[in-house]
Amino acid sequence: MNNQHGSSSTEPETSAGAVGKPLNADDLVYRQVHPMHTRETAGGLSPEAFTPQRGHSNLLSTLHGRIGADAAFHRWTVEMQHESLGSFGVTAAEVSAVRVDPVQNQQTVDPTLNVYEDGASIGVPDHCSIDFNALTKGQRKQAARKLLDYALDRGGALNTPAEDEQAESA
Amino acid sequence: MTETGDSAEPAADDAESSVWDGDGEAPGEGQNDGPQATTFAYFSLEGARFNGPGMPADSSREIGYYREAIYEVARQLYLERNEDRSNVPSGFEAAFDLRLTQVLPGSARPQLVLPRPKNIPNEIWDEWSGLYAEARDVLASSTRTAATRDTFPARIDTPRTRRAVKKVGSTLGSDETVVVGHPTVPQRRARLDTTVRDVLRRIDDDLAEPAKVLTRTITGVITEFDGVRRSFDLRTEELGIAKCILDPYDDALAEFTRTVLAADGVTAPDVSVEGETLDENRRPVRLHNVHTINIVRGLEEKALAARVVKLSELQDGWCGPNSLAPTADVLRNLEIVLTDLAALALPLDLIPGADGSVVIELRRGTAELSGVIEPAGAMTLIRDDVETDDLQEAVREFDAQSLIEFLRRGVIG
Repeated sequence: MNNQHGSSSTEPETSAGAVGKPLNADDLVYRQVHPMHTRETAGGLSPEAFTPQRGHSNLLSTLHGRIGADAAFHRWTVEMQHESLGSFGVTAAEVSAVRVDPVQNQQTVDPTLNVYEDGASIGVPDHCSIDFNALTKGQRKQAARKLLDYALDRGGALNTPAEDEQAESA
Repeated sequence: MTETGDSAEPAADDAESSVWDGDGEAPGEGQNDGPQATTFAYFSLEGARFNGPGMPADSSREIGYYREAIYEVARQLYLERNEDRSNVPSGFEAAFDLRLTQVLPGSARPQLVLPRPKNIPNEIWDEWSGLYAEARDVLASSTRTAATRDTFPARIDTPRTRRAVKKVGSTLGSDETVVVGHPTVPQRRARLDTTVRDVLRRIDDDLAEPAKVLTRTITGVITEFDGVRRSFDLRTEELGIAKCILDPYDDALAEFTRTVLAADGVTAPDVSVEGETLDENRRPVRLHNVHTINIVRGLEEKALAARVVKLSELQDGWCGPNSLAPTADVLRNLEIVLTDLAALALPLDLIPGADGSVVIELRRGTAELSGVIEPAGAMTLIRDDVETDDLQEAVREFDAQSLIEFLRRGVIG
């Protein structure tokens, strides 16, 4: 990826133009999953939970794992007043490992994912973006499905359940 | 008092004796006493007004009303016995040429005879004159029944008959009575005093449904829409095409009608349409002032519809900054395919995308199918094999039929 802003090679520019800092392979990022991404009929979660939106330049918003799953959940649900089933985590290595079907005759770039920490450039501390821009819509869906699988393999929501949820499970 | 005798069923056994063959002196002529054997019907007007000689001229209408009532009952009896016919034969009404020959003193008692027409063959006249006589007696017994039970016997209970019967005695005052029926057997007569006449009138008013505006609901698919006339065709299984005219002031309903229109004549949700009609038996059915159109749903469709409600309740920003709630056109297109989605009877889910789209997700074997209904009339079909990672996708204009076909067959055509 080009670095038109002269940043060091360790802080490449994301496809959206923001300066990003690569994560270590073992670094976790947390994605908040909205309850509407629950599959009420088939069960489980929809890959839409890990699908970026065009309004975000196809960058999937996450928070760096160093803040912890509980803090990530708190920021999203309490500070930003959004709904969430919890903090679902994937590592940078898992993001990089995602490979999608090149979709014959439609692909001109390498269909892989990248994750950067871009909080400083967008003014959101600890914010990380997973860049889907090289992918077609179908590829984004497939990549999201794989990220979701990684997150679910890790145990799903990693934050401490709220007290009422604990009471219910007890 | 509403009866002049017992309620024995009338018989037509005296038809021969109650008609005049048209030759010689008319029955009753030159006589001043009671009804003659050849008199067709007894008819007596009672009340102070009728004690003088003859009959008040303005009461002659009553004879016409009585004749009309007998004819309508005879007509109904004929149709009852000839189920293959929708009307009486030519000449049946003209042949019932009831005639007044004289008025007996006391209560005004016009003598009514029924001459045999020259141009009617004997065997036909035998049948018809028997029906007329039977009708006279059925009318009397039915009137007695109606007076006591507030209802007409089913065999003659038609709007035409009710209307004709309630006219009998309608010109009389509250202290005046008309007695009608068999010429010689008092038990086969009916006495229509003001109380009985009120009952007859009320029965007809209560049952005169065709004159009332009826609210009716019909279910079907809207196949044609005329925006100028604000009318549409509703194709139904039982009634064929129903012609419907919208409430002229309900613009929102007209717009909604457009959204549930089957542009191809087939693909659209079933809707229930509620409007007004003056005659529910008319074909084609016509509904006026249509004020309600609802999409009709089965159980599976209701579950999907409940999900659509949730989707429609999302607000922009629901999934974070810049995320969009499902747009109006996306929800509208989703409504259009909802019935067909339910008909698939497959475990599919409706998931909101953060860009204003709605994704219809379905697992078929190893393939995850996503039908993405997108804003601005677009859609994307994605087939993702979770074992082989084989991926197929197509970006198209929204098309309900190809979307359903994709979900049904699991392949992108």
